[in-house]
Amino acid sequence: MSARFAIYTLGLIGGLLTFPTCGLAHKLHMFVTIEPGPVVAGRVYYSRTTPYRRARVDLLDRSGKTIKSARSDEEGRFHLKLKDLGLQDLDGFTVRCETKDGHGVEHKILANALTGSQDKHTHDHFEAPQSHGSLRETLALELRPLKEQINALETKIWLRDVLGGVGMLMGVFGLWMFWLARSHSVGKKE
Amino acid sequence: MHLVDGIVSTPLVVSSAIIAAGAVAIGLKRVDPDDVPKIALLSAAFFVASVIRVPIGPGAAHLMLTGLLGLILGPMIFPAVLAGLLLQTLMFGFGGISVLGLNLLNIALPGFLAFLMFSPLLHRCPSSQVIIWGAIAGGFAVIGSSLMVAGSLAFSGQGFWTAAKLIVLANLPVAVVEGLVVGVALSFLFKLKPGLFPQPKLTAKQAA
Repeated sequence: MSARFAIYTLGLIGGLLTFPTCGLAHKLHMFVTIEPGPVVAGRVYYSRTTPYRRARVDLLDRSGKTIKSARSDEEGRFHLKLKDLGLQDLDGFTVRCETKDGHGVEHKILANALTGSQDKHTHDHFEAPQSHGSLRETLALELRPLKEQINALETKIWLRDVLGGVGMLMGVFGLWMFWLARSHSVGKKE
Repeated sequence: MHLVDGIVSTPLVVSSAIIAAGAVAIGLKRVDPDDVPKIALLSAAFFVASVIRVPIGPGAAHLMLTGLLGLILGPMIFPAVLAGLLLQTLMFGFGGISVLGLNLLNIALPGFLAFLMFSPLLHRCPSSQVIIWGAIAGGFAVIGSSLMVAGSLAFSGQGFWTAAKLIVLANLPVAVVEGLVVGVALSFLFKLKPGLFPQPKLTAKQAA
């Protein structure tokens, strides 16, 4: 392998890393939160700036049966309104989004998410908190953008991660080459 | 292109893992110590290209460079892509670990087919046409991978044409961009060092 080839390939890798406007991600992510109503709300996205638009999002019960479906909007946001279903507990339920091109993501609801979410408060007409239940809802709604931001930052792939991966690949192949060269020289001595 | 766990049927997962293991073994058998740096660099190029998201339509697609990898590495494309793919799965969760074999075949096999089909042409054609054949090989690898992903989903109970239409349409712009990148890179490298590009082994009849 010529040094020129190595330099040009490294140049190609460097060029790809500075690809304009495109973030570093290709995995579907989902943010899910329970809002008063009750409403299972959230967002499906590839990266903070690339939502998955018009995606079908399903709410599955504990047996895996779809009980409610919704479509994400242009920002990837979805709302599954559960008021008519009379559910008391979402523990063990799953929110799933599968694309037709083989990508998918699911989020399992673990806690008793509906407790304290049964009263009439909604996002649009909000009243001052009067009980522990409504205080929790207020906090939940106020903290939602922050949670969403933290979720997006946690799932983002940073440049340092990609560079770390490139370094790992070089290390693994370097070890392989060392092993091949060593066995080659041992074979020569014999 | 990276299928996730639980989407494809078990027989397909098992059979593809066996075929992929065989393909990787064949690729490893062909590796000469001098080839290792070349494999490492191209594996890194694949790793980086695959994490770059290109927003298209309702979703996103990504470059792969498998046409370039296939034409330079031949059967060694399988271990090269496996290394990149394994790291992507473990580090970023791209695709599932149980479908690693299937993802490897879907991504690397069209690159290897591009090598079998276009490598003899590249060595015979005038140097001015290398960029064209390189671009076709790059685009072919992307469309081939799209069709293989659609086929994998169809084998697992989803409609082939629906999936194929969606995936191929989503990847058409990627095929064009990748064709351009591979075409330019190939014409440049071909002038620099034609010996870098292996040729498929000729049969006795062809050699005669």
